[in-house]
Formats: sequence, structure tokens, C-alpha cells
Amino acid sequence: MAKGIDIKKLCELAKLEIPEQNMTEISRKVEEVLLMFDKLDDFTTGDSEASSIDDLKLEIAFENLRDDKSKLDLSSSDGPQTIFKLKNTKDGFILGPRI
Amino acid sequence: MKRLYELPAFVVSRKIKEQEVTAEEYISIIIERIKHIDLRINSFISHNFENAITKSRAIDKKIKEGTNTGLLAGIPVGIKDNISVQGLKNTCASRMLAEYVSPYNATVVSRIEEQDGIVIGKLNMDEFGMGTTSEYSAFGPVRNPWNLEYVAGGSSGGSAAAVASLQIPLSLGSDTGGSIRCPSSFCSVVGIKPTYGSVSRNGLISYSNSLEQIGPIARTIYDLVPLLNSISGFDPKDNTTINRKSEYQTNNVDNILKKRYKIGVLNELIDESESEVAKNTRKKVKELENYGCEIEDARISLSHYALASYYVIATAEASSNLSRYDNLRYGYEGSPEGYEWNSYFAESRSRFGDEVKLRILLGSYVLSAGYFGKYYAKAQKLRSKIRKEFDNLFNKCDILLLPTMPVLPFKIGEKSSQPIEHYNLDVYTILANLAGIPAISIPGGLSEKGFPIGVQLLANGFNEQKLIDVAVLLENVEGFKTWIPKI
Repeated sequence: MAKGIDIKKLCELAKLEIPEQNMTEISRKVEEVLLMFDKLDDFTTGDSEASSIDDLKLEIAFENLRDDKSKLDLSSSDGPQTIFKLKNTKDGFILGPRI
Repeated sequence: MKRLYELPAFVVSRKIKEQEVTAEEYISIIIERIKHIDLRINSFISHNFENAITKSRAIDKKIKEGTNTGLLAGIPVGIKDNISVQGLKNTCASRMLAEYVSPYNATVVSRIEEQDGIVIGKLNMDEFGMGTTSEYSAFGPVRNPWNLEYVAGGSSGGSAAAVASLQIPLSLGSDTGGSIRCPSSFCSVVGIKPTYGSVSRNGLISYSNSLEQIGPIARTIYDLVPLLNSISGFDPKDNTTINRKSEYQTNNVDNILKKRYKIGVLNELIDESESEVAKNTRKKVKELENYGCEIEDARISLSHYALASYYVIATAEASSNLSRYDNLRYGYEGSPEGYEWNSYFAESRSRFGDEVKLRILLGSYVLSAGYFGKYYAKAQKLRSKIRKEFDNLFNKCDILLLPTMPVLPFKIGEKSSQPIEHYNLDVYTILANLAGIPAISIPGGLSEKGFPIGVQLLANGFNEQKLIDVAVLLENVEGFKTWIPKI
């Protein structure tokens, strides 16, 4: 099952750049680990339900998790720039690539 | 007479409170020790010496003025470099975050400071916690204080090696699949992974949210308990913490024996480990039997599927968690102007190390449309079954006993290019993470060639007290000592 995966396609999906000279090695490792994952095929789950969602049960709304207040103006004196230095900014905005 | 840095933390803290020694004197000795020793071990990524001295003076002032001080008064604590400390670099041992300074404290760090503990620095680890040896660090491997050519275990290798080499008495690590217990075993210290939800993860840089927990490392159980008490408990900033009061005690042996603990021994897993590991583990079983504990054979039928289940879940969560490193919110200098989004994102992520890249690829694969049911959904179902199996076992016994690691420490570089060989090392430790139960590694003596061996105890969820009780029993066996490496 794990044999012959398209590693370039996988890198694209994962948004990772792997140098051409490392492709064979990384491909070998991915296939080796996926073969180990295939051991799950031997396991019969029956009617068992995954219950791990219980661990992630939300008791408090996300917006109430932080006690600080969001600030929109990066250039204001009490904005985040005074706490830590932001990278790649211009005129008070964070620069980004084209989307 | 023992030097101050050799003494247990609880003894030094008492001396500080009784003004036999000042916190500043103690911190200065610790700083000198770190400067002298760590060049060989490489357990620290960054230091916090100036702040530590300032904090120690404040504690001395409090004591002189008769103000109450906390459980950790004047005690230096090292923090794994994936746990946020305000104003300090928080690199996760990655080039990706090499310059990132945390703007806030993790809850556990605030709690240590509330108890008058002193953050002394940030500790080396496998990049983002992904590894079992602490070799996968952008800052070089952590060296085992018992033999500098050998791995310290991981991923909290710096946390265990710094404590074992008497640089610091206490540290925090994080444990996703054994990352506290493995290095504790390889370095001969005590390390506990608490129950999932008992210690806040707020401020821990996530690798695999549903598996990881922060926990303490110390040289003895008596030092570990005050730190565990300091960091445990509900945190409104972490939705997964449980509102449950827990204060752990180091009870005396007679009181523990009255509890008549039943110990389930995972004989099958002991037999599968290296002979010296098996021999020393059985010695611990014998010691508990001599105390009058009831010993039973126990078995986990699904243990051989657990590795696949664990790595499917861990890599899936890793690929999702690490997608935030886009070099916009965190990262390094480098203008994104003129780039197209996908290529900029991909190029930024080339700063991840090889093991991290491998796990992102695996996680992306198992979560991809055609394979979700085959891998991720099935791994979660298996995880539920493993939990049920543990529930059944803990109906019959209080504690399960097995080796922490199936092997002795090995040479740096020996297994790093073979992922399966590497992942197989986690087979005894991942069980507790999958089930969310607490687990502790305690020193189990040395091999003939002088390498540490760790013994692991598991208990049902929120039964850390049982682990502590049995650890106290084992530390009180005649002839037990804290094994210290000669450096």
C-alpha cells in the first residue's frame, strides 16, 4: 500500500520544500514508516467508537481563554511592538506574500 | 560533607528559609556549576542568570522580612525550550524559532514563580519534541552525563541531563510519547508524566495536543513532589485541564504499606527488553514483593498495535500544529514581498529539521482524503480500545510495572538514520500517552558497564499519589542510592 507514493505530490500537499538530492532518502523513510502504519490493517475495530474527542471537550469559549485585549493598531505606543519585535513590517502593517 | 549543589532541593530550600544560606549564594553556586559543566553536556540553550540573581535577592529579602515563601523558595528550575518564559528565547530547538522571544509566561512557569522558584534557563531538546534521543536539535545533541558519547534520551534530554549532572536540582520537561520518562531512564533521574488534563499546557508549544503533558524531573521523589504540586491544577487558560484539587504527599513507608497496593507486572514486555534491563526490572518487582505488596501477572494485548496508532495520531497532529510556522507571525528576517503564498510558505518551512519534515509529510499523508479512515480514524479507535484495556487492568491492580525503555542508552548517531528502529524505542512509554494516564520513571540501578536503567510505573487517571507512594517504597529499600555520574 505504501509503496510507490508520489513524494513530490506529498511535499506539495504538506507545503514543504525538500531538496532534490534528499528526495530518495526521505521517500525511503516515508515508505518505511507507512509500512509500519499498515499494521493497523491487522486490527479489527468492530463497533468501537473513537472517544478521544472527549479530551478536547470545550468547557470555556475560546474568546474567554485570554485575559488580554486585542489591539488593532500596531503603531500605537502600547501595541505589540513594544512587547516583542515584529518581523517584516512596513508602515505599521505586516508584510505578506501574494495570495 | 556534601556541597550545596549536591543536596536535594527540599533540603536547600529549608536551609534558605532558615537563613543558613541565602538564595543568592545558592543561585551563584548553581550558575558557576552550569558554566563549568554544561560545555560538555550541552543541556542548556539559553540562560537566565541575571534575572535569577535578581529574583534570589528578592526571595532573601522576603525571608528576612518574615514574609511567607513558597514551596520552591530559592530553588532554580530549568525549563524545556518549548515552554514559554516571558522575555526569554523559546526556540523549541528549531532554526525556525531561533530568534523568537516569548511575550508571556506559560501557566506552569507563573506557578513556579508564585512558589518562589527561580527560572535559571531554557533546556535543550529534540526539535519541537520530536525524537527519543535529543539528537535532533538545531543546537547540537545533548550528551549523556554517564558517557558523553551516548545519547541522553529525549525529547527532554536537556531537562534530564542537567538534573543528573548536578547542574540544577529540578526541571520541567514535556512528554508526548515518553519524552520525560525516556531521558529520565537514560540519565538516572525521576520523571513523571502526569494525567492528561492535570497540568496546564497553556504556553507549551504544541506538537501533539491530545498526547502531550508537562511534567517535572528531579533526582528523588522527595524533590519531585513539591514541583508537581506547584504546577498541577485547573487553569482557565487551558480548556483540557480538569477542575480537581490535588495535593500530593510523600507518605512514610508504614502508612503506604497499609494501603496494600496490588502491583501488576507486565512480564511479556519485561521479557522483550534487553537482558540487563529485564534483570534490574525484576529486581524492583522483588523489592516490592519483599515489602508485602501483592504481585500479579498483567498483560496488554494491544501493545503491539500501539506504536502505529501513536505515530499516526502524533504525526497527524504535528502536521496541523506546525502549519502555523509561516514566517509571518513568527520567524526570521526575510521579506515576503514578491512571493506567491504557497512558495513563500514552503520556503519558510525549509528551516525545519529533517525529522520534523518527515513527520509533517507523514501527518499530511494520513490526513489526506483517501487515507483518513484507513489511518487516523482507525488509530483513534485503537486508542479507545487501549484505554478500555487499561480500565480493566486497573480494576484488578493499582499499579502496572514495566521497564521505561527496552534498551540501554546507545551511542550518538547510532540510530538516527533509521526511523523505525528509532520509533520502536518508544513502545513502552507511548501506552500512557495514548491512555492519558500518569506514568513515572524511577532509577533502577546501573548496567554492568555503568549505564542507567529506568523502571516505569503506571496508574489509573488522577492516581499520581499511588505512583508517588510506590516510588517512595523503592527509594527506601536498603541500599538504594541516588546514582550520580562522575563528570
